[in-house]
Amino acid sequence: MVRFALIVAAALLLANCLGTRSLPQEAAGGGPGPADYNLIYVIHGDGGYLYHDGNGDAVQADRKTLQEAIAVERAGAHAEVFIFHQRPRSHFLQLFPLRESRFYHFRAGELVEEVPYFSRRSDAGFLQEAGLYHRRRKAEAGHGPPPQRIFLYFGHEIPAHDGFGYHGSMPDVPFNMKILAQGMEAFNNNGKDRFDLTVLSSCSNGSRETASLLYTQTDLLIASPEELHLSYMDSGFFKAIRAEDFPVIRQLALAFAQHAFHILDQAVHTPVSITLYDTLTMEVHQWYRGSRFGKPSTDLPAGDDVNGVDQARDVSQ
Amino acid sequence: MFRISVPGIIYFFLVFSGSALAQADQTIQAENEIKKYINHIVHQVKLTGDPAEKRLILDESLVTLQEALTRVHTFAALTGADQRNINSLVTDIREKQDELHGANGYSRVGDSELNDFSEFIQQDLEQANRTITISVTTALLAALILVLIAS
Repeated sequence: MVRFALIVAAALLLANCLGTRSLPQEAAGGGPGPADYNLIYVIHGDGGYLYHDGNGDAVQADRKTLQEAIAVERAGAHAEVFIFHQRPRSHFLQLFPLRESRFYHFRAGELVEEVPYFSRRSDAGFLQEAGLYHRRRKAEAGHGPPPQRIFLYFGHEIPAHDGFGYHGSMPDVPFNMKILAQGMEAFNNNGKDRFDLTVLSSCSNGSRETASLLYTQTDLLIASPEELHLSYMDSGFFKAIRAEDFPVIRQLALAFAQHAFHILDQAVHTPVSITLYDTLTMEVHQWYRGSRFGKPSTDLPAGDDVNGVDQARDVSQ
Repeated sequence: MFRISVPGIIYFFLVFSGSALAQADQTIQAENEIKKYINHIVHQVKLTGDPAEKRLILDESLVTLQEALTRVHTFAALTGADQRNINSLVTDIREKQDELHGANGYSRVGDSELNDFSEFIQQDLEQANRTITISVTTALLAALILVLIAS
């Protein structure tokens, strides 16, 4: 009987190891040259992400965002998309770690690979995710201009310091802005690359301090200086974009921020605030709509004394 | 001789792994119970067409939430961080009650705005992640007391 139980456990463990789904090699390697964009999604799902939509239906923010990210590529976006869904750590029989997190790689509208991976997060950033990314990133040399690289993070507010408890199933592993920056650096080939645009779809991470901290990792940063509803910034914007529509990444960033603002403005009664930072010049554009209810909120955080604030603020009023 | 039965093994592993999973999930589950309660209230507010009844439903539920949160400390010794977080949440809810009635400097929420106001309360409470700073015990107690008071 003990042998039977061990065989069952071994079979389940083996099944856990064999979870990768891939397209045939010719499909995975074929297709057109480099896409116009590389979209790298990191979706944090190891925490409380339940909210209710306008119909009262329960929604898990991370799962909804994952479906939206997949829909972007399914729509035939001119992008190579790398999606990392960070799920809570769990074990089979308390002994065998399960590959709960998922990596999805899409190219030319097709799912190239779906890889389950262990939810082993560390205070060194996105080491596993960056490793998976670099092993799959299509060779760019000799295929025209390199794609614009866009990093998107979806999750709760990233603390400035400490951040113990951020990962619900690993409360002893911290996550904070410094660790985020390290994680982005890992995606950036240890500082050899930079992101053209970074989107932090999280509460209260839009600040001059964040822009300064990420200065070495990204040219542009879009984030919310105040609380952001869990319906997040809508990445459906990327479904239809092409490089010729936005020859300059700044134009794309402005259009994305306006799109995300508009969707949130329609969806929620809480204040909506989205800010675009140029990390090189520290020029700032902000979109803001207050709420009919609650305390009046400031349109810029205290001390954020910026130049070039876009007139688009209060556009909805 | 000590014998191990298959049901015994299954039971052991279920209990063992179940308790570990529960440890990881308890805070989130407790928070979800509070979110479900608020969602139920929003649904009740939208069901009735009578503004006075809408206002009453909102008022009673905001009182219930405050009561559940303030009773937690009578059942457990809270850490300083837990106490601050609970106090902040209670203050937040009390201000929403003030706004509902037009007290303490707030303009009274209009009769035609009560559905939107109920959604505002829900969105405001759901969007901030408070579980990071609330311990498992505190979150569980708050949810349990809420269920007891509301039922």
